[in-house]
Amino acid sequence: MSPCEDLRPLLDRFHDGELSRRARARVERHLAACPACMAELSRISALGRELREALESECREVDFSGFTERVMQGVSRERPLPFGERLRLWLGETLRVYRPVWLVSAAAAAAAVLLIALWPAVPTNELPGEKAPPPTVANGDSPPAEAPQVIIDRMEYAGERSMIFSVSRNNTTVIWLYDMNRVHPGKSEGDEL
Amino acid sequence: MDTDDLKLVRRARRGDDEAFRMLVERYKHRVYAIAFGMVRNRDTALDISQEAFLKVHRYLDTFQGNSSFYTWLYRLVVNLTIDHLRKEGRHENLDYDDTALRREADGAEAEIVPSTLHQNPQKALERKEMAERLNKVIGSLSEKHRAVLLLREVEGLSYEEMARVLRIHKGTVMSRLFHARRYAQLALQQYLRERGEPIPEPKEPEEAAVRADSVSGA
Repeated sequence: MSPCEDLRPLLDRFHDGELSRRARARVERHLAACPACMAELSRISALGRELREALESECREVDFSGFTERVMQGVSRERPLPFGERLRLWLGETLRVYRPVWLVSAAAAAAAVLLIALWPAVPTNELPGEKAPPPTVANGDSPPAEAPQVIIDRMEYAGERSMIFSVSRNNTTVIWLYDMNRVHPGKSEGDEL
Repeated sequence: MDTDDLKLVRRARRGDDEAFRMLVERYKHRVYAIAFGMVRNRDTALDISQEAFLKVHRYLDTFQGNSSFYTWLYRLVVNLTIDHLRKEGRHENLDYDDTALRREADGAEAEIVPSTLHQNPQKALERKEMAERLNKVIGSLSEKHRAVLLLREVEGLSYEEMARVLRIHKGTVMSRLFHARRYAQLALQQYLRERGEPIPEPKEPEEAAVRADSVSGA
């Protein structure tokens, strides 16, 4: 292999400063005596210069005013609102849109209900001496065997999927989560109710 | 710069918008240069540049700080441009023809950038020719070859840095760069021949920058 063929693959690395000191010195000695390799090195150099000049020229022509602002606006849009703010907006929107819904759903939701937390305080048909039945948890698939008697005293909140209300006795607060598909079969999320 | 970048990243992670704004200001031109070099369309390059910063902000929490910020940023930009090119099926909207050089100036269109035309038509023509040459040279390359050429020649990254940005071996960087330069030179020579222009004599090469941190055995 001729010295040129041997060293040609090193020219790029020489140009890019990626050779060891020893290898660099070897290439420099060869370049001093080889116009062909020197010309090749010049072509490598010229190409880089051309690219840089063309792109610098392009960058000078571009109007970057507003660029950073647009990025920051995008950042703000993507940033989630604080939880409190989100809850307020969600409740407001849901009540506004679905206010009639809870009136209908309250009756229809009895078939699929999940009672949480304060079940023992909910009044049941309890005979003296009998223990209160254990809490019955129903998921959307099967209703509880015996639905509790619950009298809604005050509606705190009613939405598409849940209701919060207090019952007439014992200051109990009940949270109902119900399955929209059972409430409105054939309707899907997003349908107008 | 690396330490400064990391400090800004940490502040931005904590919700300091001003810190993130500083990062954008610091890198917007460089990001655009890569994006434009890859896709060669101004509007697309601007969109991609913005998207790159939004993505950076979205994933700030995932940046570990094991590599430099700009390595991560450039990787995002290169990947976005490659995604774009693949989606477009290489049907790029080339920016460098007479039509594309029209731009609206106060509602009126002009064939060449009006400010430079009236001030220095020669400069405008030179810019146009330079742009056409760039287009020819870059356009002849695959995305992989474009990426290494731009990162090396425009951003001045070392082979090690490029390997980290592109997530390839250093040997692959060297190989791609070698071929990218050869293909680009052939494309340039062909372009000059087609225009009947002489292929310029090689000038004295620039001094190669000796990078103290990238010395490798040979």
